[in-house]
Amino acid sequence: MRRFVASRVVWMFVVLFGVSVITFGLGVLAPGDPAEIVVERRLNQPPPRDQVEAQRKAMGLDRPLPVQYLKWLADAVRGDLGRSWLKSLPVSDALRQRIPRTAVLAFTAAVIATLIGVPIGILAATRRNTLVDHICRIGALLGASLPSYFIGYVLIFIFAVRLDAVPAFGFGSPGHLALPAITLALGPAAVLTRLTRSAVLDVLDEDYVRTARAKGVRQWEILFRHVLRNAAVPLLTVAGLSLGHLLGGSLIVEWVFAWPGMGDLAIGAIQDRDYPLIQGFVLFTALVYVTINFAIDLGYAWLDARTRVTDRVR
Amino acid sequence: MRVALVVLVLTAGAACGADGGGTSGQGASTTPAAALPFDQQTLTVATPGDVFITRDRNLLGMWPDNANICETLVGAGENLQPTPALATRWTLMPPNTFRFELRRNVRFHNGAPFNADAVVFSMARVVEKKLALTSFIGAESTTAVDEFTVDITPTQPNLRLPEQISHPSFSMVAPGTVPNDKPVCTGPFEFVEYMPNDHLTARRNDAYWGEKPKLRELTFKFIPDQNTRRLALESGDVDGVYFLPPQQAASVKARPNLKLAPTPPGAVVVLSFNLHTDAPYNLMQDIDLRRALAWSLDPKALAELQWQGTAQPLNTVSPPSVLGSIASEIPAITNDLAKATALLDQKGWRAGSDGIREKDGRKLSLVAPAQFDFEPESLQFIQAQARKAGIDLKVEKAADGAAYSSKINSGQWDVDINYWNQNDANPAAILSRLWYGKNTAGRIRFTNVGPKFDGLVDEALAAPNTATSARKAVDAMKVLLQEQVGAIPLTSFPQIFAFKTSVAGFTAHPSVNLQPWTEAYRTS
Repeated sequence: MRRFVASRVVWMFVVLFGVSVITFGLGVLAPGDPAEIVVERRLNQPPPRDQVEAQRKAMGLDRPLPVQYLKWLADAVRGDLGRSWLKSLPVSDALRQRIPRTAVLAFTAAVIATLIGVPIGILAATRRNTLVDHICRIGALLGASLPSYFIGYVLIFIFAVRLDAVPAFGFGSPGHLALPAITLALGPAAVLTRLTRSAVLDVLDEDYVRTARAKGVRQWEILFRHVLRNAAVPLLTVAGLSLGHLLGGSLIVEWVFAWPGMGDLAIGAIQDRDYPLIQGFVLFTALVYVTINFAIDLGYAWLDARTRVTDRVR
Repeated sequence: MRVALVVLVLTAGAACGADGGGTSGQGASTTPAAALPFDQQTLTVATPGDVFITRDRNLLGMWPDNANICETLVGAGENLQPTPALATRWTLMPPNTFRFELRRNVRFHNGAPFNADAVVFSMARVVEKKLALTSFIGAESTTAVDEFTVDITPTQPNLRLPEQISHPSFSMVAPGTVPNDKPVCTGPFEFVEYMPNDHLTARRNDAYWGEKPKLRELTFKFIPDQNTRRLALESGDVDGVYFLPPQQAASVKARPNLKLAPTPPGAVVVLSFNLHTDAPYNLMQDIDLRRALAWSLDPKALAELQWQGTAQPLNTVSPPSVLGSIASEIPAITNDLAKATALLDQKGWRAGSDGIREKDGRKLSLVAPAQFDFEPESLQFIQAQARKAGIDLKVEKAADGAAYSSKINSGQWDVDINYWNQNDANPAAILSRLWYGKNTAGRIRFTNVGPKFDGLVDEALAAPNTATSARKAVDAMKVLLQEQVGAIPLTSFPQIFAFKTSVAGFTAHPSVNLQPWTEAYRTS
């Protein structure tokens, strides 16, 4: 088990290093001169060349790219992600301000997705090839296919404009959380529905389930004691990755609902070519993903005895 | 040496505003009968995202979203003309000094008196924060003559100073305060709070020297997505929205509880040419090609299509209100496809099999970067019109402002498609931003049309009054548009605000930076 954990930790750092190189490279390749943007924002007019040059020097952009990258990496390892070029504050502070807001949104969405996806998946599996199953599958297909911004606008139109039940946008109260969390949850809920249905169907066909039925064990007991426990491994993978997706990938939903979280921060940083902020955001997202993956791997070992045994045999 | 003072503007502003005279008490006494009670006079306006967070917050609540917290020495009237604000009059002391007489009995929101020391402090801050733009106000430019008189001497001749300092960048702030966190000024509203990426709130300044606002509280809600802004207005979560996209205007107008409030046309759509780059971006160095492109375009038809028909065809590069009647001296470009094709034929540009003209194996294809938020329909229209003359405009709509600037400053383009805002009454403002050789902006090295034009812009900037400056600006535009065909003006268009019909009293200002909120109020 220790070797298993150690190898996963090493891979985590390899992935993070790769992400840092790619992020830095993409930032350099993107059109738009950051120094020019900073001066133009300050003056609100086409920027004079001499001021742009001075700004470029002040930002360290006149140095060779490897030097820029290594300095950034060395600082990042010490926890210093640099200062945002346009927001006049350290990147870590900017992220720290936004992470709790995105976390609230993501965890709420994850709970909603689970509460919708797992029961509907079980329902569809236990009513296989009935009208209920077809409706559940079509619903899941729509949830997975429709873009989140479209769902967001539809929900705002119905629940804020027509019904006046919740605020259309913003941040601050449970009411503000409702629409963005539901919008964000529908995609992962659809995936969970389909996966739960499939996993439960697989287990329902197993001999031990048939035996349990033959012995007169009640349906709910079969489901919760035997079926769900054995279907949990693939579900855990999807649920974990969905959480990563929700934490790092709520950009569009935050933008649509003016939710001042990480996504909103990232879109603004991309538009402004605020490289330190973009790099900080991507690195944070990568860290979330690899940490969740790591946790899932550990979860496998806990849930599935074969993993532990295999590791011990090695 | 001339000692006579040239009086530029004399006003009656001092008398009418010095000691108030507006609403008093809770304000309900002066608002019309239909107005809501004063304690319900709160207005929430959705703006396109938090514009302060990326700008060092030097102009928090002042610019680009102006909550009327701060004021400038000189204001801008409904036609952008200079009007008294915190200065009641100003005079030119030749050759290059302006003397400003300050309004008396004005206090900052913290109770400190507004006087010459406050002006010196504020202008020093403008210089330190590099907000002086092209006003040429330097560290030593502003001096206190007495408690209520200041002199401002730009570092180089600039007689457009009174017009330029109506920009909110030149706001007066209370000495010793830091406006980045809490602007303390003299305006009709005072700062309450700013929550990054969420909102900025201001409340009525009950001690305001002029007519007091009818609103108790004004909030700007930052909503970056344009569709959400409109839905928030429809749901009633906000009372108004900034910058309604024109394609949404018709649907908003059709709703009985909503209304549009367009500004007077204050922005202009202008095509500029790259005149100074080597091949392959050198086609526009041929004036006949520039002229043929100009004849192929129809500003009138574009105006009917653009901005839901609220745009106007343009014959100059300034909005109609800036030059006044003398703008008509510049003949409008006439759409004449026959002349355009004849000229191209005469110059040896023959139509190829795909309809695009060619000469010596080179196609008449022009790279045309366009600003990211330019209306797609307008771009397609311009492209289609040029195509009729056999000119291929390869429009490259930028992904965002940074990509656009990068493209323009690279010089790898032929025709620039963009719109520009006029924010003050300086007739040479747009001329000096886009084509003036003494402007060190990156784009100028590709667009400058030569010394004759530069000389006329010099004269426009040095003219002793706005009327003379406008005359010189017209002369410069004749060189730019007729002699050199260095640009093609197309249309002038408004920015569109939208409100609930229950919001009254708001009259949009042509400068998007100077929207007045003092007259706005909510009715039942």
